[in-house]
Amino acid sequence: MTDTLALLRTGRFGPSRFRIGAIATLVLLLVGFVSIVWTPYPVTSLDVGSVLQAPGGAHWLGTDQLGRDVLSLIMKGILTSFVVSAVAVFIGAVIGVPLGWMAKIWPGIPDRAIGALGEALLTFPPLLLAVILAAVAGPGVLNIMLAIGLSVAPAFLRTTRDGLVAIERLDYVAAARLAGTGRVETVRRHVLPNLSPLLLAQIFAQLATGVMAEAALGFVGLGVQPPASSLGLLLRDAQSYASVAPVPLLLGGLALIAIVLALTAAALGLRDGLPGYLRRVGDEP
Amino acid sequence: MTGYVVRAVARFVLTVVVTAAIALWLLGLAPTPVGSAQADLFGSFGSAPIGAALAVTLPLILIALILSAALGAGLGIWAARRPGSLVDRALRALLRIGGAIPSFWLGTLLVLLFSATLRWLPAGGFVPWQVNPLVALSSLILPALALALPQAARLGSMVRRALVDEKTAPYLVAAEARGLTADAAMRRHGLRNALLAVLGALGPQLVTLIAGALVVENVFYLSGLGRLLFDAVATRDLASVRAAALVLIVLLAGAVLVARLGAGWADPRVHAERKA
Amino acid sequence: MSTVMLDKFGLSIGGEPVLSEISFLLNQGQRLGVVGRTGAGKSILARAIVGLLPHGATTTGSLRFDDEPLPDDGAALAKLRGKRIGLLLQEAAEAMDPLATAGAHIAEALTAAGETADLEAKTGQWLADVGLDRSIAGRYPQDLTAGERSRVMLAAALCGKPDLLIADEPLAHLDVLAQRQVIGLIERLCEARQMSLLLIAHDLKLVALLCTRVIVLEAGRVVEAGDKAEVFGRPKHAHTRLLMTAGRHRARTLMRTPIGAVLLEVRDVKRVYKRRDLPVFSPRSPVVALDGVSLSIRQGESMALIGPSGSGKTTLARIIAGLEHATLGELEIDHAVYHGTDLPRIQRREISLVFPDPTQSFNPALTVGESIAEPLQLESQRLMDELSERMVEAVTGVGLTTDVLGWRPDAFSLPELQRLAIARALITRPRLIILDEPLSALDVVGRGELLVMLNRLRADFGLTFLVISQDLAMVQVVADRVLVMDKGKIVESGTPAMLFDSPQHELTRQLAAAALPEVGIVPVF
Repeated sequence: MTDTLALLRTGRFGPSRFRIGAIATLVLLLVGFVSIVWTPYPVTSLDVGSVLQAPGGAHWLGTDQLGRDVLSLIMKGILTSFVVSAVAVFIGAVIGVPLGWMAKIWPGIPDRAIGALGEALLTFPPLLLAVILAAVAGPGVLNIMLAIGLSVAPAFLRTTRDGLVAIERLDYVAAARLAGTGRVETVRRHVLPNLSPLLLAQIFAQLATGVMAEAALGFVGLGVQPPASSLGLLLRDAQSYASVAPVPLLLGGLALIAIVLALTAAALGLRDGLPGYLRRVGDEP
Repeated sequence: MTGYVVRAVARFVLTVVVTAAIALWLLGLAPTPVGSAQADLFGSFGSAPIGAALAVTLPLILIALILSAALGAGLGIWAARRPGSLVDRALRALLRIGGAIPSFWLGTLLVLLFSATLRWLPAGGFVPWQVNPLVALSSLILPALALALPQAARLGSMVRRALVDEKTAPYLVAAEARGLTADAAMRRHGLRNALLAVLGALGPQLVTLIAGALVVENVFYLSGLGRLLFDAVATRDLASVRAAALVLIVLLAGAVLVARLGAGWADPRVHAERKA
Repeated sequence: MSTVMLDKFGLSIGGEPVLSEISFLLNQGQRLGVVGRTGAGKSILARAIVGLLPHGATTTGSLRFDDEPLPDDGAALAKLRGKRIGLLLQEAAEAMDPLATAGAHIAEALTAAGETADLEAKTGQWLADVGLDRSIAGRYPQDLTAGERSRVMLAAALCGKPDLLIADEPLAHLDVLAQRQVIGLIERLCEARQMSLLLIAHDLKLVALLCTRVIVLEAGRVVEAGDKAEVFGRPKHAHTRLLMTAGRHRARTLMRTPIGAVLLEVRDVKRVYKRRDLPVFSPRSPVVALDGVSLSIRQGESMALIGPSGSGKTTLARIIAGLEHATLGELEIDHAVYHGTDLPRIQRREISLVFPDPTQSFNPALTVGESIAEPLQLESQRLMDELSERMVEAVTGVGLTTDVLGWRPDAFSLPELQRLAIARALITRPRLIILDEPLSALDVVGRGELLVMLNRLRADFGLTFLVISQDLAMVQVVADRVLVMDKGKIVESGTPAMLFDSPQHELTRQLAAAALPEVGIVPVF
């Protein structure tokens, strides 16, 4: 982990990519968290008298077609993006990492079986699963969390499995065995500290994927449902009045892009810090 | 090579079967709304909607794929010419930002720009191919662009990275040592390796593209597979959901299969497998 | 015909000087050796002569090939490299295009040299010349061993019939027999075609054998130059003397521990395993790594295992150490019988293993202190004091101080790391230490120092060594007894003197004959 912390300070080209990404993510997260307790206007307050106002004056970023404050909507939307994708990534990791581990320690048939399962899940974009779940249980947040989670699980599966394989081959793991270190302890001292930066990079990368997916699903109405707010819903509404008031559309999209860029920068920065033999882990075989 | 093809097809079949089984099982869990008949599985395939839907979605995907491949490869190669230069850094930033742009958002912007303001292209709706192929095509241009541009950015990043990785590979210096110029070495050795790297990673990209197409159709009111699927969900028409989902599964797995076959075709080591 | 002339040639990369004031002349047919420690600038010099400089490199002084400065035009330069100069760069084995067959590499070199007819036949011929089977032409790098790849690249460098061969560590990854073959080939070509040779090597013996003149590089400067006999026979500069003493392994110290009872016995051990990395439906024949090996090591003895790559030496070592499991047969240490991974815990502290590459054998996430202390858990409960005493003993025993214990592996040089690896091996006061190619990752000076240290440790601590090596000179210095392995069996055993003076088995004969003669003791012309 110290290598990861070291990355926060310097990178190869000035302030490391990880630092930039991490700070940007933190800033956006902060905005999201603030919205839990405060937004300029409550998002549920409809002010029909001031619909579609341009930015400036009482509403810093304007209002939407129902008179809701755009800034508040964006803040809440950012929060939703983070929460949904975080839960989804958590689900994906909880499924993918143990499976990847099992694939590594039981090579042969279980490995291939798990590989086939991962392959099948890989072909499932979040959209497909979300659609199916929506057909079964109606649209909603839980469904898309599950859908996105299942579709990012294969990435964690592959990263874990390939990372473990790469690390176990190294001499220092053999040296630990010679030194009498038990399996569990070897994993704790030698394997995990060298696997975690890899997993961390993957977490950030999948968070970015999750945010994009959540927005797309919200846009088609499958995600968070009104009166809750998400960037996807904001964009959906903004589309309909964009010819008269394009600002919310632009702002919503820009907010989304900012989150994705921040997370991606952090992920790439983490990958930069990996030793050479681990850098390619997780790419398609 | 044949072994490779067999294995790829086997994976395809396995994936489709497993995925379809999961999908069907999940759908089977849905409570049937009172009064609707449980249409049998194959019945809904015969209905016109699927075919008509594919007639919209497939061309859209193909056009977007061609556009993004051409643009992405071009940008990636351009950026890789001089790694570290101003052009490269600017392009890299552009590609990164571009890759983060949601295609549906871009679609709405394009509609705003080209349809509402400039009135060059239709804002939506689709005229069947039989009626007027040119109009049909023109209504696919904007959605294809919306899909293709972010995808091109992502592909461009991949192509650039593959090329730059190869550029610094020791075998290029060794090729120059044998008497090739730097350009010749790149052409004969670097490009092939870069192509292989990109093809290898193409499968998941295609999946994203297809999923994106379904969403973009929404923006442009195209009656493709996406519209079919979403309407079916909204009306709880399970039979249609089932049919559309199955078609989609085959489409997705098929795309991955094609990508994998392409990677195998480009890899001379696969062709020589028999000798090993 | 072809001459290389450097006059006060200097090279800087990104503002940092890498080479300074290099001057020498190499005429047609002459053979010049460039020696020095790792990082002295030898390889960069080779690249500079052919214009293959990295980005951001600036040069001063003059460098002329055939009385002309190097062409500016990329195409002309490439043509020069293709037709006139054969170049074998460092780590050539890693410099093959993964998507091109071995034959394709050679054919490309032939074409670049203008020899476009009969490519297939010529390729086959060159492969045979470097000692490889012709069928290698159709194989891809991933299916070849490092030694095979190295030789393919050498063939590619030579096939264009160049006027000048620049070879940077041409014997890397080759076992002793292959080395002899390659040396013979280069010699023949130099004789027959008056090919000039610029040989870069850290092994002085090789340079002494093949070259007539020598220049010594230290930190980018020439510190000594002249005829081989002068430089090696009467070295003037301190650095030259350093290289020579390091390369010359002195006779062992007479302080040998008396040899006692049998410590380890290996009885008829076989190791067979199935290859797992092939695709599902291809037929796999099992690999026989060890085919009935028996040996015994006595307390205080130092035994060496030599043999070509693939003979099973490392597998045997790993089984003895308890990392792998024997398929058949058994082993016994200290009256405890085991088969490999079932080595009882109590005996585990009696055996230690030192790996070849210290950069891979230390966990980068831990301090070296933590890594070295790890084997101490094999000891029964002891007081903390005694454990830290052990650490001090181990670290100072390898010539380092205890304040380095808090540092991480990336803070050390290779020789220092290998010393720390040995310290880790010593920490449990084992009776048997297995050293798997302990010197292969180090350069000449590092090897010399480590050898001296190993001998001293054995005397001081009464250790028993099992050394795996390809370096016969090292084996002569360090071992009491030598076992020769081939294809999983022991084919001959004896003292080093016996083996080299009167070898019985064919393989031993070849290994003995392939050993390069010593430098400096007897003048070699």
